[in-house]
Amino acid sequence: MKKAMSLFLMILALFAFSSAQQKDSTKAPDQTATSADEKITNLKGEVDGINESYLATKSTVDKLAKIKISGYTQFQIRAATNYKEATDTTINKAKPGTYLYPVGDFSGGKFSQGVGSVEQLRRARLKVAYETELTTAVLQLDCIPFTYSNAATAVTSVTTYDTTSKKYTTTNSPSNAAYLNGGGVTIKDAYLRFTEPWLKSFSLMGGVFDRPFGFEIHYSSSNRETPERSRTEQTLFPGERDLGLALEMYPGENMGFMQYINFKGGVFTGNGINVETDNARDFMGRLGFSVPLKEIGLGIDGGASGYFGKVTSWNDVADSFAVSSKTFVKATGNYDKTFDRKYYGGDLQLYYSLPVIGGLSLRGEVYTGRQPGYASSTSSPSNNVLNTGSIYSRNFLGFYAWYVQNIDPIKSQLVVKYDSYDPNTDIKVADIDSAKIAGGVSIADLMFNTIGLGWIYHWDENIKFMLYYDIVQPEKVTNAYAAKNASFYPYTLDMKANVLTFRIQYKF
Amino acid sequence: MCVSKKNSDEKIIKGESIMKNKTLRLCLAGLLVAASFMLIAAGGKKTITVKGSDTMVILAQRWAEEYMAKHPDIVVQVTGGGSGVGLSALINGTTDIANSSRPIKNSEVDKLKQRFNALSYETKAAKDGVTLYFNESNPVSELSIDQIKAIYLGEITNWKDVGGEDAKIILYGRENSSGTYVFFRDNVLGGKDYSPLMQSLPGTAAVVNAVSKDKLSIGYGGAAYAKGVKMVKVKKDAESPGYEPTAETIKTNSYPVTRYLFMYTRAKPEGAVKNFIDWTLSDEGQAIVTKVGYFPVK
Repeated sequence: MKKAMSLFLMILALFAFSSAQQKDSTKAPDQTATSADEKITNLKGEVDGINESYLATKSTVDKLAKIKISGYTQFQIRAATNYKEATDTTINKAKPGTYLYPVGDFSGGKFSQGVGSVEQLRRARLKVAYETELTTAVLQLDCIPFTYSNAATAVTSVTTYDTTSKKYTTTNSPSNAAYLNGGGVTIKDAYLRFTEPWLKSFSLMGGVFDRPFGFEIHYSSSNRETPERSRTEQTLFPGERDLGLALEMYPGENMGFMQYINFKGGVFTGNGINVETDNARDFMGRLGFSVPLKEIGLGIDGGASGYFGKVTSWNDVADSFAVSSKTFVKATGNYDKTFDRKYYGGDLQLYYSLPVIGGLSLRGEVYTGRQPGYASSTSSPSNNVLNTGSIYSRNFLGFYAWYVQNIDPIKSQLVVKYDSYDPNTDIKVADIDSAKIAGGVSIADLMFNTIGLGWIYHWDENIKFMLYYDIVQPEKVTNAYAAKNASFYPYTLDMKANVLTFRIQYKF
Repeated sequence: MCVSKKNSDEKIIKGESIMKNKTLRLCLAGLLVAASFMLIAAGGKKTITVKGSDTMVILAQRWAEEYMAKHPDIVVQVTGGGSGVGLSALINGTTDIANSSRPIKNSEVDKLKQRFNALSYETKAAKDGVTLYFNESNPVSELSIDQIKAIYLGEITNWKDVGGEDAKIILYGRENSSGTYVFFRDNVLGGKDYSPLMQSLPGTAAVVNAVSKDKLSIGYGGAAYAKGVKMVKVKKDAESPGYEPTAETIKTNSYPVTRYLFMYTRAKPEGAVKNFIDWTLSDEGQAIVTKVGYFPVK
C-alpha cells in the first residue's frame, strides 16, 4: 500500500514538473531575445566597469613601478690564519694577543687585539630609486651594527693665531659622544641624474656617488667575486664615493660606433662623502670603451682615468714632507698651502665564453701618481675637518690582475687575483736606514702584494656563498738598521697577514 | 658461568651480526635509492626554458609542441612576460633562452658580463612586420610613417587629419617591458616618448582585442596577431606606395617597419639548447613561423 502511494506521489511530481517546463516553453520568442539582450547589456556594463577599475589600478601601479627597491645583506666569518705567529708576543714582550703588525686591514677590517676570527654583518644595504624615462633619484642606505673600527668621530676644528710667533695653529677636538653613534644607518649614495631628451646620451649627476675612476670602484660588492677591492683602490678611494657634480656620456645603440665609447667625469670635494673643507676642487674622470666582438664571442672593455686634485694643509706648525734623493725632505710654513693629489690609471677587461664550462674574464688595472698622505698612512683624506696633520707626499704605483672563470654546470665561479701596492716608489726597502727612519720613512712606505683565491657558489638568483683566501705578503725588510726599529722589526720576520673569508649574501 | 658467558658472547656476536645485517641492509637500501635517483636523473627529461617576448609567445609555443612531439626526452617550457622580462631572466640565470622582439641593450650585456662573464649570443629566429591595427569599420586604409609618428606622439589626435571621420583617435600600445614598445618607439617615433594618452596594455592580444571593439582606436603589434582587426598599409613617406606586411614585402624590405625576432642565449648555444635552436631555424621550424603568421629568416 505504501509502495503504491509513493509511486502515485512520484508520478504526480513528474507531471507537475513537466507542466512547469511546458509553461516556460510557451514564452514568446521576442521575450527571450529581450532577456538575452538585457543580460548581454548587463555583462557589457560589468566588463566596462572592470575595465575602468583596471585602468584606474594600472595608473596607480604604473606610478609605483617607477620606484625600484633593491639591496643586499652580507654575513661573513673571517679568520686570521696566521694569528699565532702574528701575535707571537715573545718577540716584542707585548700583552698577549697583541698583533705585531696589522692583519686584515685591507681584507675586511683590522683584527682587534686577541681576536683571531670574527663573525660580521658586513653589509645590509637598501637602495631606493625613483626612475622616470629621463630622470633618476637614488638613496642608498647602509645599516651596520656599531663597531669601533667603523666609528665616525665628530671632530671640532679650532684655528688660533699666535701673535708672538705670528703663526696659525689648528687643533681638532674629537667629541666622545660621537663614538656612541658610530654604527647604525649611514648614507652610501644620494644623487640625482638628469638625461637630456634629444639624444638621451648625456646625463648630469649631482650628489654622493661612486668616483668616476677606473673599473673596480664601480664594481659593487654584491656582484664582485672578491670580498674586498684591491689595496690600492681602498687606499686611494676609501668609501668609493665622493660628493660632486658629474657629466656622463653613454651613447645609445642607435649612434653607430659612438655607442662603444663612454665618459664620466666631474668636479668633486675630494673628501669622500664629507663636506668641502677648502677652496681646492678635485677633477676626475674616465674615458672608456666597450667593444663586443660577438662573432667570436670576445668582449673588450677598458678605459683611461685621471684625477687632478689638491689637499690643503691648515697647520702652520706641522711640517710637510716630500721625497728627494730617496729621503723625505721637510718644508715649513704650510698654512693654507695645497699639495698635489694626482692619479693616472688604465684598465682593461676581456670577456670570453668557453664551451661547456662557461664565461671567463681577465681584468687588469694600473694606478700611478702622487698621493699626499700622512706619516703612518697613505690613505686619501676622508674627513669633514680641516687637515691639520703633516702632509707626506709620495709617488706610488699599484696594479692588479684578476681572473674569473665561471663553471656554469655547477653554478660556481673560480677566482684568482693578484694585487700589488707600492706606496712610495722613490724609496726602496733596501734604502731604508736610520736616517731615513728618523726623517719620516715608516711602515706605511712598504709595498704589499696579495694573492687571492676564491670559490663562489650561486645557490639561486638571490643567494650566493663565497669562500676566499687572501695571502697577504708585506715587503720583507732586510736592512739591518730597519731591523732594529720596533715598528719595522716584525717585517724582517717574513710574516704573513693571511685572511680566510666565508660569506653568505642575499641580494634582491 | 662459563656457559652463560658463552651464551652472552654468542648473543653479543649475534647482536653484532644483526646490527651488521641492519647496517648492510640500510646501506643497500641507501644505494638502491641513490641508484634510483641516478637512473631517474639519467633517464629524466631535459628541460629547456624559454622566456620573454609576448610577440613570440605563440610562435615559441608552437615550436615547443612540435619539437617535444618529435623529441619525447626534451621538455620545452615557454612563458611570456615581455622581451625585457626574458632578458632579465637570462641575466639572472633563470632561463636558457630569452625571446626578444628587440635587440639586446648594451646595459643588459653589461649585466650579463657581471654575473656570467658572457656577452650573450644572438640568433635571428624569424622576421616580423610591426603591424598597425585598425578597427574593421575604420575607413582609413593607409598611413605614412610620419602620420603614425604624429599620431603616437599625440600631435595628430583626430581621424579627420588622416582622412577619417571627425572623431578623436584612441591610442593603444604595449607596456615598457615589451620589446615591441621599444622597437616601435625607437624606429617609428624616432626615440621620442609616446603620447601620455596612449593606453598601455599587457600583451599584443589585449591590444588587438581592444582595437577590435573600439572603432576609433589604433594599435600596433606583431603581424601574427592581426585577427579580427584591419591591417593598415604603411608608406615610407607621403609619396611612397603603401604596403601590408606580407612575406613578399617583408622579404624585399618594402614594408617600412620590418624587424627580426631574436632568441638570446648567454653564450654560443650547446647541447639540447643548440639542437632546439637549430631545429627552429630548419625548414620545419621556419614553416611553423609562416603558419603562425610571421616570416622566415631565410
